[in-house]
Amino acid sequence: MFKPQLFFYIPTIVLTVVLGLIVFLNNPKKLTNRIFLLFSIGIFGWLVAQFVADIVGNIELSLAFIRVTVAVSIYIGFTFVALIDALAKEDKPNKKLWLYSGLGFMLLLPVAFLPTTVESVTQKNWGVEATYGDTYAVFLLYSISIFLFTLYLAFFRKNQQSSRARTQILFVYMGIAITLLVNIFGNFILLPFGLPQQFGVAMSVAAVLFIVGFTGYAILKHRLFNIRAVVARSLAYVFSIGAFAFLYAFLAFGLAQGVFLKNILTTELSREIFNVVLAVLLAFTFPTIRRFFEKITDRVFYRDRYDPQQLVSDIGRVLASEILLEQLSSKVLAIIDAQMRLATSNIVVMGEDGIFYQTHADKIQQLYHAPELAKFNKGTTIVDELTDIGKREILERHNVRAVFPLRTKESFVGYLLLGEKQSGDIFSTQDVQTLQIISDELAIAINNARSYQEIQRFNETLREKVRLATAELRHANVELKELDKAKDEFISMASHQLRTPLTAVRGYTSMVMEGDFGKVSKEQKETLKQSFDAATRMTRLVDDLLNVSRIQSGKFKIERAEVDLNKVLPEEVSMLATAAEMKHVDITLHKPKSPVPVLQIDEGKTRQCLMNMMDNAIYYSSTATSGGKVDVYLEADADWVSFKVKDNGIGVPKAEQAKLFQKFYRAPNAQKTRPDGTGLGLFLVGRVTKDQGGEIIFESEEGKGSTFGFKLPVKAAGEDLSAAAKSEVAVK
Amino acid sequence: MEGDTQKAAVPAANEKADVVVVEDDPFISRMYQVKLAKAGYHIAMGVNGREAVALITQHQPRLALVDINMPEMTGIEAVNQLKNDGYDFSRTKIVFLTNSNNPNDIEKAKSMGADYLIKADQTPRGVLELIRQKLGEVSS
Repeated sequence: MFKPQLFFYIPTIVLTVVLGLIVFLNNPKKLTNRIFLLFSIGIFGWLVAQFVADIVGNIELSLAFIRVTVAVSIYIGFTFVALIDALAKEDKPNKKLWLYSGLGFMLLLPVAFLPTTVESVTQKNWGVEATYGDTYAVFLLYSISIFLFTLYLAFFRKNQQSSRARTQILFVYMGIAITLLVNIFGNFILLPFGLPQQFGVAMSVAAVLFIVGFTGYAILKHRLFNIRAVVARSLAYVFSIGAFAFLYAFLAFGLAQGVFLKNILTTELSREIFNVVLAVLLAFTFPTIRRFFEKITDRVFYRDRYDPQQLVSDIGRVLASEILLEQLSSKVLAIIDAQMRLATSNIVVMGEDGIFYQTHADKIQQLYHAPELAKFNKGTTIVDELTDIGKREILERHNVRAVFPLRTKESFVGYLLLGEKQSGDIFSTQDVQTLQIISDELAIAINNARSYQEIQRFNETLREKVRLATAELRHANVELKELDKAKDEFISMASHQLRTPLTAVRGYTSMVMEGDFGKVSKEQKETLKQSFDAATRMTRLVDDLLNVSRIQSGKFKIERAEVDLNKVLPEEVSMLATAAEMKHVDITLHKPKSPVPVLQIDEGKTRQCLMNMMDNAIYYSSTATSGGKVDVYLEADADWVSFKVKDNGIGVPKAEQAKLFQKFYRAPNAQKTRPDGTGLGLFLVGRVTKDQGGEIIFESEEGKGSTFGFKLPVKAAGEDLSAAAKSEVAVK
Repeated sequence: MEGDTQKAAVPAANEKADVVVVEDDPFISRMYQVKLAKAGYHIAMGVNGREAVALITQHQPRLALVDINMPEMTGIEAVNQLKNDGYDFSRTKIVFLTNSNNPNDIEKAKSMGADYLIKADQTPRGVLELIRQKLGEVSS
């Protein structure tokens, strides 16, 4: 008794069971998957009940099973509501809704078994035909309300769901709803109008294929339940086993029974041996067959397949070889684009204050904005899984489908922004995992490149700043030089202006004193002498000031010329003779036994030094109770000419000696003896001596006296002694 | 007697002067004038380089005291002018006066074969002694 609808039943039952189990086993903890299993069990139950009713051959039993199919339909309706709700709410279903529809299911269940629902069945040659009663209309209402209610749940309720979830629901809903509509249409409209019931049943069974088909499509294309890989592998196995079975059957029966081997395999034993050999042979060929089908299914399911390891290592090579941000970014993106087949991709690098760099900044019209991007810095964002409409809108505006924040252990670096895959596929778990590995490495590389670039930029800024500062300094230098020139001119002019009247004062005073304008008394002469000395001193102060100012401005220069101290020193001593006389200081010049060599030194400045030291000696020994005594020595040995002034004055306290040659420094006892000293004299002596390559001679004991002086090298550095000797002759 | 000498120091227009003093500062030029006149020299006075050229050319003195820093024409320029004019210096010794020991001036003075003295360091007596020495009237 061949029944054509068996062709529908068997594959439909198998597919339903396999699908339900795969979904459930793939993630048994997920509510949606569990409900899908319950739903599949419902479909399975209905099919089995219908199948059994058709083939059982007993009218009583057939009636009972037909009633079961009605009851199971109610159950299927309930699980359909639960499935759509769970999908729409992304695994967080509405419990109240379940409670109410569960109650409805319980209430309706007894109705299925009322005699007025399915009144009787009659055995036909294709199966059983049911006669429905009045209460069967309840199921029409039930079916319609389930259809409408799920429609509302899936699409009209306010659902926080991703576009991916919406697409998934759409397919699942369409599969089930079409099945439902086919059932409503067939059972309640066509049958009453005379469609043979056998077609109605066949339609109902076949309609289940819509559920399997649409759900399957959602699984494969839209990653419903995340079981694409499982489905692909299962299909590969199904095909492999199918092909294997076919091959085995062909060889075992076709060959064995066929003409070719019929005469050889005559005995039972030989047939056994043949089968064993065949089995071994096939056992070895199975992996090959499986691989063949895997390849084919892979090609069908994973057209955009790439090798993640290859991708990671390709990118690793770029990361290791590039240091410039622009090259690094564009090369990495080129590899990702090519291997993952992306429409667009970008890298945005953040700096301390906003976006530091973004790829294609010149090409993309919609540039990224730091505050917008900041919303995605927490973790990987896949647009299809995003429920936040605001965030989705931002990414869709930029055609971004996935955002990978780039961060190192220490800092946040930026974003890897990927566009749509050219295939339209969404990013798989494998994609995301691979890209996360890449992101981590990319973050470190970009961080380095950014630091490098920052250093480069910093260098540039620094160079620019240095350039500006140099220009400013140059300008300031010009101004300073002008000012300095003006100052020098002023000092030179001031000293000239001061010296001229002083020359006149000294000159006239000396003339009066010397009797050029009539006889002067001794008393008058002494007074005039004091006036003369004061003016002389003032001249020297002006010179000291002039020299100190020159030292300050770096204009102080030793102008070397031949100087014969044998001649110069007595002149200086004689100029001080009157001053010494008036202070009752006995000044004695101890001339050398033979004249000292002529030196290449600065005459004016050396004269000033001699004068300063002797003047000091006269001043500070004038208070000596036994009368001041100053001895001036000029001596020479092979290398040095030395000048010394020994006095019996106040001396310099030990503690003050170190500071004595400092500018403006004056020892306390000196200040007391001579309040009007400037503290410049010894400073100048020190400087002039040093600049002429000489050394200061100084020793002192407080209260007993001091010896001041200097020694100058006979041969000035780098100069020929004979030249100095010749010039001595020339002067004479 | 000293008053008479002072008057006699200013030579008449046609009289030849022994010494020409060219100095822009009136106090100083007057001072040298008095001192030199008292010592018996005939003196002609000028206040700038141009007058120096004119006076030296006119009087051909035995000695000229010429200040370096003067308005209009400096002492050095004046002597250069005389050289260019072909003045015969064998008759006249030039002593430059300077108020600052500016090495440049000293160098220039020496290179022109002239002597120099720093006014601030010298009293009129010192100047007089230098002149006498230059004119060979006393041995150094």
